[in-house]
Amino acid sequence: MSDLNLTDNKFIQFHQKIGFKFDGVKYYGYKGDTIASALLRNNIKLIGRSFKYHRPRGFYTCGIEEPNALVQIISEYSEPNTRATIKKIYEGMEIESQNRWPSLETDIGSINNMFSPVFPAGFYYKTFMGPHKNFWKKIYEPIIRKAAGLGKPPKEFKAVSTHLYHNVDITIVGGGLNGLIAAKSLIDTKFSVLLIDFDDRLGGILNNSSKVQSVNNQTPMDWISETVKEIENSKNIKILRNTLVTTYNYINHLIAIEDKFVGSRPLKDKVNSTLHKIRTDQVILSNGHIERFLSFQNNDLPGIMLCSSFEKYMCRYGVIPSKETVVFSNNSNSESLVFSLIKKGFKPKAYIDSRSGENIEPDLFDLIRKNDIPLYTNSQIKGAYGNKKLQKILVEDSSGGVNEIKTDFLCLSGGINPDVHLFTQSKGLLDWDEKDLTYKPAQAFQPTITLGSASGQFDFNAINKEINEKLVVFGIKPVQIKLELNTSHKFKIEKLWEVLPQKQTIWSKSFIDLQNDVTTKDIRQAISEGFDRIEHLKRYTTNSMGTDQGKISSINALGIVSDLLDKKVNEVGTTIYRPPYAPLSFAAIAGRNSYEYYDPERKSPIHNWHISNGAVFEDVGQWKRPWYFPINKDETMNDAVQRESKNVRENAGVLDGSTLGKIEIKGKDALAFMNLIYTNSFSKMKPGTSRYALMLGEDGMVKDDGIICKISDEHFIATTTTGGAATVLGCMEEYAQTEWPNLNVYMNSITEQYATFNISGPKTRNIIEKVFPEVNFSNEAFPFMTFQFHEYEDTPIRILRASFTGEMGYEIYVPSNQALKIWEKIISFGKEFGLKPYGTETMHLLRAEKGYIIVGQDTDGSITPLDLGLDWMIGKSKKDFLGKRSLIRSDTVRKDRKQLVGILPTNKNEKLEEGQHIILDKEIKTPTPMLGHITSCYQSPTLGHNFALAVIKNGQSLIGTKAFASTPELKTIEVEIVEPIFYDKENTKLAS
Amino acid sequence: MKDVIRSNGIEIKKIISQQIVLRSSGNSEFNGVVNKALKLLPPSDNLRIVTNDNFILAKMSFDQWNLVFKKDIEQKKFHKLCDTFNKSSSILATNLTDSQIFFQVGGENATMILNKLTHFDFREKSFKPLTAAQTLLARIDCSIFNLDNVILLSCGRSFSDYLEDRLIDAVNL
Repeated sequence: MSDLNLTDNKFIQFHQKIGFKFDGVKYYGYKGDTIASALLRNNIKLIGRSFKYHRPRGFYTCGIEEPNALVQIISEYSEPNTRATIKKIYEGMEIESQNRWPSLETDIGSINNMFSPVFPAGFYYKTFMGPHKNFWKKIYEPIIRKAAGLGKPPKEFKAVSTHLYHNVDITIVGGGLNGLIAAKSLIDTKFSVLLIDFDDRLGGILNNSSKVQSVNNQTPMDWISETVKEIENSKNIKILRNTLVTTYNYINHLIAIEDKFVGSRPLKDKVNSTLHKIRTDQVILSNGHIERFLSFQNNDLPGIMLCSSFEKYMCRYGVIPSKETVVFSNNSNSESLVFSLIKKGFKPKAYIDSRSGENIEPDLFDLIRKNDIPLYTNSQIKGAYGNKKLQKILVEDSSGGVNEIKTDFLCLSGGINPDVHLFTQSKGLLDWDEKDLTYKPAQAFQPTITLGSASGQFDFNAINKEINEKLVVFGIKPVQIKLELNTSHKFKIEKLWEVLPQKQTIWSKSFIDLQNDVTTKDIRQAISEGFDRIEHLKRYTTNSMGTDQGKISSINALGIVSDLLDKKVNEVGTTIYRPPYAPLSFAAIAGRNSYEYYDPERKSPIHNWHISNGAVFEDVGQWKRPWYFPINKDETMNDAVQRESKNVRENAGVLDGSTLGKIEIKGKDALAFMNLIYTNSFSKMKPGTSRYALMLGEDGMVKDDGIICKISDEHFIATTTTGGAATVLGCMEEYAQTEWPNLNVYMNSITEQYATFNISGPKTRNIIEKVFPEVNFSNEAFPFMTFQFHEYEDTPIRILRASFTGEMGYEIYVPSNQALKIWEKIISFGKEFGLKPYGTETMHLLRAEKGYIIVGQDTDGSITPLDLGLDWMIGKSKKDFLGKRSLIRSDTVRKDRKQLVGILPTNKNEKLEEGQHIILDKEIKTPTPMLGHITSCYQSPTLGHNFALAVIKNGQSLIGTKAFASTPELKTIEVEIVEPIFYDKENTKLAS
Repeated sequence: MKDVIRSNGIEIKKIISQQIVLRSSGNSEFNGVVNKALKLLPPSDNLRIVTNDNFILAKMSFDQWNLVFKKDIEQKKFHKLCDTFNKSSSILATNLTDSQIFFQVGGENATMILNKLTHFDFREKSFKPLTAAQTLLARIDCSIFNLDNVILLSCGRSFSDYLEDRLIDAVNL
């Protein structure tokens, strides 16, 4: 292990060694280390390759703002783009660097750097145009996708994530100094409070730097410990650690992601992450600030890091990335690092400040002088140089002379920004502060309070005043926190965005966006090409469009642009930070609504019987319906369907039709209501009879169909299609409540109250007479389209004589809790008559043979009853019904509308397919006029060949003519257009 | 009643209760019929619940009341009660006993675990005792009844296996 450890650190457990692998090499870190701190401990500074130019990159920061250090976690489903600066290590962790080949040290892609003149800003839009349009799809895009990019998405994994909803009064985002003070002041108040922090240790800057010497006369660590304990013991505040708020939506809705396995290997089948969805009355943003970098030649070399990050590695992780670092700054934020370095005995190799000596904080000035640290005031770094790591820097001093300093590390500070991402997501407005050179929250759009540096309040001495003023709305007691500081309490900065280089070379670049490899030259070029609006410029150059959203650099870009345009930064404006604050995995977003719970499932009351009897299911809406019942694993669907349908035609079959929608309608005006809702007239129907009915939309198109049973003029039961049940009930409710409120009528869904079993086939009567011996099923006592109520072993049932197969049939409606008992009786009594269960595919075949339509398959929302040849179902004498007026529109009465017909292949060995176009010409020319298409198509064991239903233009008048069905291979099959009924046209079977 | 799960500070039981859905304008005739049959005056405020030893009666919308039986009664008596309501042509009483499944949820972590499945605000100030709600739970329509120290969830029978699985999953994960 290296001598870079600061073993007096209290956060790292130096007694607990942890082994992990990076790019196949084994290293050791300690419990509490991030990947970055552990690798730095091992003196590893090269972590990845850049997005476009494949330049070597190191750790630039120590937190979520990191643009460079993205790695693939092989030991966690190969999770890509993980920030090494926040991901904690665990024993056996395997990590790989990204976007390099064949290795991180030797990456062929770095040749891109040599070709950088052909990859300027907006090169995506300028190049790859020719010589042919196919070049993009087949040549350029695959190459670019392979060469550029981030990690590789995992191919096979099953992450487990849950969602957790919260409803609270106040949410505090950030458990640093201000967040803790705010939470403490809310202990045991009437408010329910959530305190959320990304770290597993609350305290923020108190843990990460040496800025604060004491809080209320206690060491920062003692104060944090005592405060956190008080908060934890309170009844009204809950702390969420390891949780990052990523999104601030409208109406104070926050989304936060919690890592459940920080510092340990995620367990299979255990929740890896929880997505918290928080609805809160008030949000307190105390999520701190982000330090900026500076642009100069090769400011991306490994060995360059932000000042506060270097200090965080020392204070929070007990590792010093380098013992001889140079510090370069234009503001007072670097003071704390210098103090920490000297305190630990690693005084900086040099201190360079763009400010003049009198503008540097006196305490810092004295500290540097007292420790004999070479000081360069009024100076700037012109460039950094080295091979895959920093080796030297060139400093232009106040006299204009250029000095070379050999060093392996450089700490930078270009200023600090309030972390306004969440604030702007909430639609809060920002304002430019000319003194502190940053955008600060100005006006909240939602009930949002910003505290501390998140509000742009960088003065430690003003903490009490700000908290007491802003939290007065909660009626809390005034807070009085006493802070002793090691550094100056105020923030001071002098403008510096970029240092221009000594000389330009192809290799040397001055970056403004490290993640997307955008250079300051790109910004200049974009402006020279007219992209001077900040949102245009962002998209043209891709500046701040990476997964880090330019957290350390976007303000610098604004500064450079404002200088180039000679405008104030406020006039240039700022781009909008979009959610999420940091990338979220799809697994976290999906939560448990994936895999086995991808879609809620509805099951019929006898679902388990179907499973036991080998049913193969199909999804119909959310219902699981038996599709077919193979007799063994070798039987195909086609074979099973041929067998099942033949059995229904020859013996009998039973279908579980429980999924059909069922609606009970009752009221004094039920008859009038039904006459208005459906096309049919129910006025002359006798109680105890039923009728096939059509429901239309206001446009006159078929919306649903079903059978209406009339119990009395004041009481009906309607069935609907499986998929249309909710729509039909909703439609009935809507019309009853809004269009015809004068009608006294109510309706309830009874879909799930009753199971429905459809028995049909020539032997049906034999079976049903055995099941219900007390019922007289003769034609005289129980004619077609009538229904009766009976008691069966104390169970009230309803039997309807109807058929959807063309065979004689009955539908039995049974209370769901009794369904299995009666189904098993039917199966048992039917055995001797050859009764077999059949599935939906057989049902479709049988009904198509009979010419019965399926709404949604043979109709598509543009078909009227007349198009289907169902004009006999329209109550012509009715004064009104839903869709009536639309049926006499010129478009709905024109002759050449698509109409339902039957289709038979001339050569009976030919196979037709659903969706095939029907055309008149044998040869397919372009364009070929299309008559219509096949909506249903089956191989009929009864007919012995293929047949189909189709909707074709002017179809009814084309019956008897020849046409052609086109195939995807541009061939045609000769067909005959026929009547859409292929079985028992005289209905003798139904009435048998 | 079937024990679904008892773990992690939550106890869930699955119940099939007799239930009738009543539709009416809520006029005095309706109030009279209901009061006479149940010895309960139907609540007039939406989502309010009234109870006695035998029944839970909740107003679920402006013209709908759900009547849940605390104790099962004989089928004949039950159907007779339905008929009593249906005698009035301004009332539609539908037996939904086989249509809805109830889950009785109790325990100190009940609402926290339910909040893995629904955004619904269970805090007392938002969801007072003896009130009801209709919302999504695990992405399906559910009714929730707050009965003092226990919560009653109901969903369509066809979804009940799915919801039971989701509840167990939420408790275990």
